[in-house]
Amino acid sequence: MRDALTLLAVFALLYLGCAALAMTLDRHWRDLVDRRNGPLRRTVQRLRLSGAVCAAAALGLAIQRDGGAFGLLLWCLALTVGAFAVSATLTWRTAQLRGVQLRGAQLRGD
Amino acid sequence: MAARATAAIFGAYGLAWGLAAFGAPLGVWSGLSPADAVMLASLIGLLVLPLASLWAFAVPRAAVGWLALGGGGAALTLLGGLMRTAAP
Amino acid sequence: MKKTPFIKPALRLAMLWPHTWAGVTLGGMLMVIFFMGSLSVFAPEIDRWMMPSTRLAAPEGPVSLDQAVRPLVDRLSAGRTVQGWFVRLPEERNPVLTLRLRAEGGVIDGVASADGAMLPPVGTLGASSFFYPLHYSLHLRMGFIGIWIVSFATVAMLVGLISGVIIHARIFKDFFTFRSWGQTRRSVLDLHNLTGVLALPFHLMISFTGVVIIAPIVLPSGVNALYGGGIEGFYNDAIGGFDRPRAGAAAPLAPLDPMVAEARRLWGGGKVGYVQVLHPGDAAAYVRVSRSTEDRISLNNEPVVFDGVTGAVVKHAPLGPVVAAQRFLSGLHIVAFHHWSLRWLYFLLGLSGCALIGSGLLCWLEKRRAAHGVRAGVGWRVVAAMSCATTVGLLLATLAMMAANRALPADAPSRAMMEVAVFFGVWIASAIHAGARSAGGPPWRSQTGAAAGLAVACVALNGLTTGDHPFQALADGKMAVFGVDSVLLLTAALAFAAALRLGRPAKGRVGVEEAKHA
Repeated sequence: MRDALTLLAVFALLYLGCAALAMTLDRHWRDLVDRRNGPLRRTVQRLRLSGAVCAAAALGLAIQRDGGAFGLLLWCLALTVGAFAVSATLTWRTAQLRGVQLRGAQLRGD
Repeated sequence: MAARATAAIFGAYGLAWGLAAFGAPLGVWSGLSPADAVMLASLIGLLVLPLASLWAFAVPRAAVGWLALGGGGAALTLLGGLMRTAAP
Repeated sequence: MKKTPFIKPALRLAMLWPHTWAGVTLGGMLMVIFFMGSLSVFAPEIDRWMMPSTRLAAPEGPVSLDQAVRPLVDRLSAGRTVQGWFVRLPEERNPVLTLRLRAEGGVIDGVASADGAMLPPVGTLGASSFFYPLHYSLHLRMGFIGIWIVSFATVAMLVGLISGVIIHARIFKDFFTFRSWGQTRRSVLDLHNLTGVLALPFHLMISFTGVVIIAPIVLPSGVNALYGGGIEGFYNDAIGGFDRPRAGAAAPLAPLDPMVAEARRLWGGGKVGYVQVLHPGDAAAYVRVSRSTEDRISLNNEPVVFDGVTGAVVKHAPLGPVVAAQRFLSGLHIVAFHHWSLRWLYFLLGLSGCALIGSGLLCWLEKRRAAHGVRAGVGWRVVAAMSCATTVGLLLATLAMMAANRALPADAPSRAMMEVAVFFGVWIASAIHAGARSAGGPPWRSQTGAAAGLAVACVALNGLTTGDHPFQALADGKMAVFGVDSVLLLTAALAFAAALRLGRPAKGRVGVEEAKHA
C-alpha cells in the first residue's frame, strides 16, 4: 500500500513539475491563461523553481522506494510519462477553449 | 549523395572498426584486462559510429568525409596491428 | 546585437537528408523491431496466455534439483546417453521447469510443473521463441545475419534520433505541443516531434543498449585483435564461461543441491536462475549454477562452476569493471528484473517508439502528397503500402497468430509451425492488400477495423477454449492471462475508435480534394 502510494506520488509530482514548466512557455501561457500578455519574468522564475522542486522531490521518493539504480530509472521514465500527460492535458484544454471561442465567435456572427 | 551515403555507412563503420582494433591493445597496454579492454574499445566504437555517420553528411566535401573516416579507420587498424606485434 | 544560433542552418539542412532517408528506407523494419520489442517486455505473460497448460501458481519454495529435476532428466533421456542438460527453475513469471537435454540423436525439450510433473508439449513457439527472436534477429539465424541487419537498423535509429534533434528548430518552444486540431499534416508532425523529444532519453537508451548487448559480435575487431577471432574465447574470459572436454572415464554425478547452497553462499543470498550440467556421468563432468537477475538491473548472473564429481568450485570469477558496465547496460535493455511499474513503462515507451517511427513515415507521405498533388508515384505507393503493412499489418499478423494459437486443436500436427504460417500469411496478405489499394492512400480503415475484430476474437477464443475469461482469470489470480486479455480489449477499443475516426473525412484531406478540383 505504501509502495503504491509512493509510486502515485512520484507520478503526480512529475506531472505537476512538467505542468509548471509547460506554463513557462509563451504559447501555452497565451493559450490557457492570458491571450494578450505572456508570463512575467518573475512568474517564469517561480514556475521553474516549483517545477524543479517537484522533480527533485519525486527523485527523492523514487530512490527511497526502489533504491538508487531502480529509483533513478523509474524517475527518468516516469518523467517522460508525466511530460506526455501534460502534453495531453494542454491539447485537451486548448482544443476545448478554442471550441468555446469558435462557438462564441459564431454566435456573435463574426 | 551516393558518396556521402556510402561514407556514412561503410566509412563510419570502418572508423568504428579501427577504434575497436586500436583501442583493445591500447587498453591492455594501459593495464586493463583483455576482456575489459575489448569491451571498452567496442563500446567507444559503437558510441562514435552514429556520430561519425552523421558527420559524413555535415562535412562540406564528401571526399574529405571518405578520407577521414575510411582513412582514419584503416590507419587505426594498422596501428592496432603494429601495437600487438610490438608488445605481445 | 545579432545572436549566432547554436546550431548553424547549414548543419540543420545537411541533417535533413540522412534523417529522411534513414526513416523512409528502414522505418518499416524499425517498426517491426520496436513493436516486437515492446511485446517481448511481456514475453512470459504472453507465453502463459499462449500455453494454457503452464498457467500455474508460482512455486512456494526452492525446487530440489536432486529430488525434482534429476528424475525428470532420466525420464526424458529414456536411457540414451546425455551429453549435457539445462534447466531453468520456476519463478513467479515463469512458473515451470524448462528442461533441455542434449542427448545422442538430438535435443530433447521438456516442460514440467514445479513439483516435477511433466506437462504436455506446449505446441507453440509463444512470445519467447517467436516474437522475441523476431525482435532481435528477424528469425534469420544463419551466420548472425539477422542480428547484423537489426543492428544496422538500430544504428540508423540512433542516426535518426540525433539528426532529428539537430533538425528540430524550436525544440524547447514546442516541447509539449500537440495540436490535434487543424491540418492532418501539422498534427502528424507535432506527434512526431513530441514522441521524439519527450521520449528521447528512452529511445536513445534503448537503441544504444540494444547494440551494446551484441557489441563484440557486430564490432568484432577488438575480439579479433586479442582473442584470435574466437568470440567464444572472449565470452569465456569476460563473463565466466567455462569449457572442458569429456574425460571418457565414467564417474557418478555428485548431488546438486549442496552445490546450489554453496553458490548461494558465494553470492551472499539471491535465487538460482538456471543450472547447466555438462558431461554427466563422466569424470570431467561440470555444473554451472547461475544466479537469477530478477532483483537487479544488471544481467550479471555470477555463474559458479563446480566439478561434477567432487562438487568443488572450479571457477567463480567476478566481472571486470567494463564488462560489468556492459552487463548493466544490457540489463537496462532486456528488463529481466521484476519491477511491474518499470515493465509497463518500458512497454508504453516502446510503443511510443512505434508512434515516433509511424508518424515519421506519415509525415513523409503527407508531405509528398501535398507536393505532388494526387498523382501518386510508384515510390510513394511503395512507402504507403509498407507503412500500412508494418503498422496495422503487423498488428493484424500478431493478433491472427494469437487467435490461431487458441483456435487450432491442441493435438494438431506441427501446430507451432501452423501458427507461424498464419502469422506470415496474414502479414503478406495485408501487405498485398495495402499495395493494391494504396493509390489513394493505404487501406488504414479496413485493416484497423479488422484488427479490432481479431483482438476481440482472441479474448473470446481464450475464454471458450480454456475457460479463463477475464473475470475468471482475475478471480483465480492468473494475472498474466488477465493482463493480456485486458490489453487485447484495449487494443480492440482503440482500433475501433481509430477506424471510426478514419471514416470521417479529415480536414487535411479536404485540402487535397480541393486542390484536385482547382
